[in-house]
Amino acid sequence: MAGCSLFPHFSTQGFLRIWQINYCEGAYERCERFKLTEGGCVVSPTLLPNGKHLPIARDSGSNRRK
Amino acid sequence: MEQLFTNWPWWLGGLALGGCAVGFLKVTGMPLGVSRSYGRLADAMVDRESAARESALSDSEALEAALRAATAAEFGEAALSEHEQASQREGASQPQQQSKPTGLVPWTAHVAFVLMVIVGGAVTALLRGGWKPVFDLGPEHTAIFGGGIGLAVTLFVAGTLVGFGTRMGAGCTSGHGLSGCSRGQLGSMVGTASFFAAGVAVSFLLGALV
Repeated sequence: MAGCSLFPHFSTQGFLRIWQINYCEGAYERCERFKLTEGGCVVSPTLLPNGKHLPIARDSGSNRRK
Repeated sequence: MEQLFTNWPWWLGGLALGGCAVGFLKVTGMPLGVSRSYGRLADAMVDRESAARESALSDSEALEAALRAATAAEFGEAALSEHEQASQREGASQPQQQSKPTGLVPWTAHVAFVLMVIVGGAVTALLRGGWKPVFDLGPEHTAIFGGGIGLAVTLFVAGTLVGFGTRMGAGCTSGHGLSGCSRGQLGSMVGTASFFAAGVAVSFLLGALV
């Protein structure tokens, strides 16, 4: 968790604690960010523990390309 | 051997490197890795979407909205509201100490870091007696690979191999040697031992060729 760039954000709002409970503290071995880190891969900043990406960044990227 | 004693004390370099590694982790929340910064720059140049993602995530309001949407999609609106209310109740009775997010390092910060690596080297050269342009890598290197176009081709191939290797190995000497080993990462220890052993072996091999 120390090297996870997303983990600190989960402490900023109360509703985000649910991620820490279900992944960081509960079952971190199924966190996709953890799996990639363990595999020595670069972790995308927008990757969520469930393997999906934060929606805003993708939209923002595609808009900039236009 | 003479150069060893004309250099600055080895322990001063160790302290500086250790300070950089700790400072980088403290400021960015991420372990120091020079190849990581180069990699981020390469990503930003070849993949605008990657740069846009990092840029978008540096906007705290947009990030919160995105996280809210993702949380609702994953756990449902009911669970989201429940945790929000529970947090508010806890906050009312006991002020919650929120940790400050370290944020993501924008690609412009990586530009600054990589540039300052070059500037730092130049400043050191100036302090040690002056800076002057050098167009070869020493007589031994020239004896093996030649100068001119041979030197350019050698550096191009070597640079490509270094870039490929650091991507494949998920880090370089600074990332694995400084950050990984100091954090007790087994992979970094194996990686550092491997590339130092390979470096020593190749040095002896090239030394035998001269």
